[in-house]
Amino acid sequence: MTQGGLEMVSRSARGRRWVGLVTVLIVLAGIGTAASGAEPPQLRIGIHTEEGWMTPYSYVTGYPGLPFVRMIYDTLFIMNAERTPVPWMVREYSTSEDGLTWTLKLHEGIEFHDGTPLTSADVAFSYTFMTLHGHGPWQRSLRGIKSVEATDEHTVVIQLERVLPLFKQVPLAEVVIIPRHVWEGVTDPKTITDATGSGPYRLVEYQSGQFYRLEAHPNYFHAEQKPSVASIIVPFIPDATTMFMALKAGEIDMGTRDVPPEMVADLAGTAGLKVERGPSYVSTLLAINNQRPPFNQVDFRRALELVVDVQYLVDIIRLGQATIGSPGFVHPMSPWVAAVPEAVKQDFAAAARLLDGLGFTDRNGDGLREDPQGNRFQQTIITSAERPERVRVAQIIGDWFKQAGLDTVVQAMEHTTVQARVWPDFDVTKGRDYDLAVWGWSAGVQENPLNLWEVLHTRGTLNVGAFSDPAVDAIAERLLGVTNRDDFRPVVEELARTTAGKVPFITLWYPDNSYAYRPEAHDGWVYVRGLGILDKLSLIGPVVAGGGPVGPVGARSLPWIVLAVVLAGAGIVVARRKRRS
Amino acid sequence: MRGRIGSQLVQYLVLIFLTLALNFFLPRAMPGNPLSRLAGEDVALMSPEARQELLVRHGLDRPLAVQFGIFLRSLAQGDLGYSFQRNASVASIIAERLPWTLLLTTTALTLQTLIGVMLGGWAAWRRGGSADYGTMAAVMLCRSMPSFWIAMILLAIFGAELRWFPMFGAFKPWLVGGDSLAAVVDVLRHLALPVTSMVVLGTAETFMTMRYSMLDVLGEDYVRTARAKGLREAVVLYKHAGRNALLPVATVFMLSLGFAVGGATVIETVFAYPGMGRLMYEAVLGRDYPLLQGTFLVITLAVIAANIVADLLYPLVDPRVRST
Repeated sequence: MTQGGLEMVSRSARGRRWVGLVTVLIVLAGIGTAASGAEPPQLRIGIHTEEGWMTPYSYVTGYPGLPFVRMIYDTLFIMNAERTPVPWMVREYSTSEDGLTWTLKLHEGIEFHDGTPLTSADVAFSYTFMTLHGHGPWQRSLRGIKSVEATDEHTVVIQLERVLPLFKQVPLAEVVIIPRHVWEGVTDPKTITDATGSGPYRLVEYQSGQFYRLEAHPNYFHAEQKPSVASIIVPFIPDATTMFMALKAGEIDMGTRDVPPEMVADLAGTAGLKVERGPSYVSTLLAINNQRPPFNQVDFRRALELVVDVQYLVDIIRLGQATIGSPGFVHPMSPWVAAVPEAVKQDFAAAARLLDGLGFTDRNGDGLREDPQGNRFQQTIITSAERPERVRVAQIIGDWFKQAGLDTVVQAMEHTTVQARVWPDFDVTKGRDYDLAVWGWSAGVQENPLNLWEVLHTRGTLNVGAFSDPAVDAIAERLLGVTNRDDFRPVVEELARTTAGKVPFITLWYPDNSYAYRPEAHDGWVYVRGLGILDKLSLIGPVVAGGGPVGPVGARSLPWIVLAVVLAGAGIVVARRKRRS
Repeated sequence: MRGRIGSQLVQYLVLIFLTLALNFFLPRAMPGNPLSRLAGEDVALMSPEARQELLVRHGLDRPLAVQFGIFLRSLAQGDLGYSFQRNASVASIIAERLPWTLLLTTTALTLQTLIGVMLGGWAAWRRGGSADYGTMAAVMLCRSMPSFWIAMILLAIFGAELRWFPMFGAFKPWLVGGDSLAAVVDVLRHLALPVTSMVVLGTAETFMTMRYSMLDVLGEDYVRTARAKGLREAVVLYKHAGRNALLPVATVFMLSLGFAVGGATVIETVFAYPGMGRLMYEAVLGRDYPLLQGTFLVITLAVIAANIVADLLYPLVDPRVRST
């Protein structure tokens, strides 16, 4: 054979190899597509954090962890979509005249996921156990309870130490019921991995780093409200962009992440997707260190407030998808107020007058104000680098402060570091190390009026700015004395009005929350006032058809099998080449 | 010989101890503490006594030196500790994640080495030509792109737009335990985009090493002789010159293999792949000290093991080393 012939053979062999490679890829994609097309009907909810075993003692975050825990475990009362407590496991209830004794009768036929009947003894056990073992909201919710007694199989009698005006909300709609036969004798509850509850869904699988699988509780007690999907797969998708792309591509049916304002229109316009948007009780604020001069002077804080245009921030950063922050902190939609103080209008001239009055003037003509002693003054805003929205708001506010003559530096840092500077060890008594910080409180802080005491009172555990004002303290104290739910309103309104003039911090906005989902997979999502759509209420209702459980799990051995396949393939190629050579 | 092995062993032991100490003290020097992970989000509303009790239960109230001593003692007993964040033993968490990371990184490493060797050899053969400069520019361009960006581009094109490959995870839950062929194919399909991202980013190192090594070898007499004998270009390039040029590549490969255990944090996070890199990242964010210590220890041991294997293999690969 000639050299030209050899080259031709070689070229055609090379060509064959490429054709082979392309064929393999097509076959691989084809088999995979066929396989993925065979997926059983089930709801896929992408979750952005991993929440451990999802027991009441091992979940990690209030959102999205706690809503899933509430799907697995039931409560005696439930908060409806308007966030009003209504009976759930409780069939009927009564209170004594002095409001200190509550008698609760449970529905009959309630079962735990393992088939064990749930009785009043489990309720008494849960309340006692959680009083003894602190974690998350449980122990705090049970303060003020004197005793819990199971008087018969379905009756629980709870004695209170004092009248609790929010008793139906906290703890009855808050504290979950755990099975005594699983938790009895447990000394370290965090080590328990058995998530048997009595809620509408049971946890049937947890693959670390990958997903949860929940299935409908087949014997759920409620006559009308049954689990509305048969099976829920909850894959972990930490990256926001990946989660939203997966939603668009139809790989998940709902994402637990709040859709950022700039993506709402895009996702809402995607075929097959819907976006549910609503106000949220979450708050974003500019925290001020009231302990550190000159921030300890109310006029200085007022000057800062006067240069911040919260309307502009909502328009530019949130694209209008937020409620403007009230200087009284309380959300205008809060059930505890009829009206809240309005945001202060931006007024550089008024701010300048206040600063001049305090002795902060520009003495060297560099455009920046020196302190009353003539020394250079500089303030720093710290913010989480992981949250671009917060970095942006810090930069805009920093520019406004500079415009007012206050030299301002913005430092973006790891979120945990910001936490450690603002709230070291989550203990306000340990001090603080910041001037100003872009900060936020979760929705739960606005939900319970007693939390206002924690945020605003001198001794409050959430008072990260060390704010202290006798007038505010006096009103906050009155909150603790309220004995009737309806009596909170005038006190909260007065507290908000008084706080507004003292500027303990600058409330910037309460964001709207937007969640995207595929209505084709499930269209029963309920927007719970101030919170969002990931809630037990969204996943109970009329029963619809759905896929059942799928085969036993062999995921642990899967990577090894595939690794073996890959290595075997490589070995065969090498061996063949060796034989040929 | 025995003396050399002994001194090397001592060196490795000292290295391991130093790494253990660094792994222990560095995370604790970072601002923040693991209380929020220990107690959940409502840690703020816990009483100071309850918080203290929690710290005592996890031994975090003791002086650092005492905690370090306890850590070393547990380690000597084969106990890597208990993860605050995940409520599971560190060893069991690592055992779950390690296979996925190995699957991801060794597949990527193998592919990028093969591609790097072939392209590097080819570019050297065409030194100074447009093919050489073009390949080098393309490879360096890929290397200089941020990993999350490459991952996002692949995800957007092949995942979201064309929908050829799945976008997250290591497998689809409903396939496991069902048809085994479909499950294996599903795992390979989930591997496609993260592996491609890693190959695009990682080929440059092997390419450059191979190219420079090949340039040295191509000047040797035996290569000229092989050419003079009229052997085909590919045979001279990959069989005669390539084999000798592979020595530095083998070193790079072995070292990379050691680091492969650490996974690829960004890639694993973007593709929600359940590997060691993502685990480490989440442990850092949660200040999960035991998990951090455990993962770093495993990586350290893997790098040292890879070094030892490279030391042992090198004389087999290169007879000149054996003769000295």
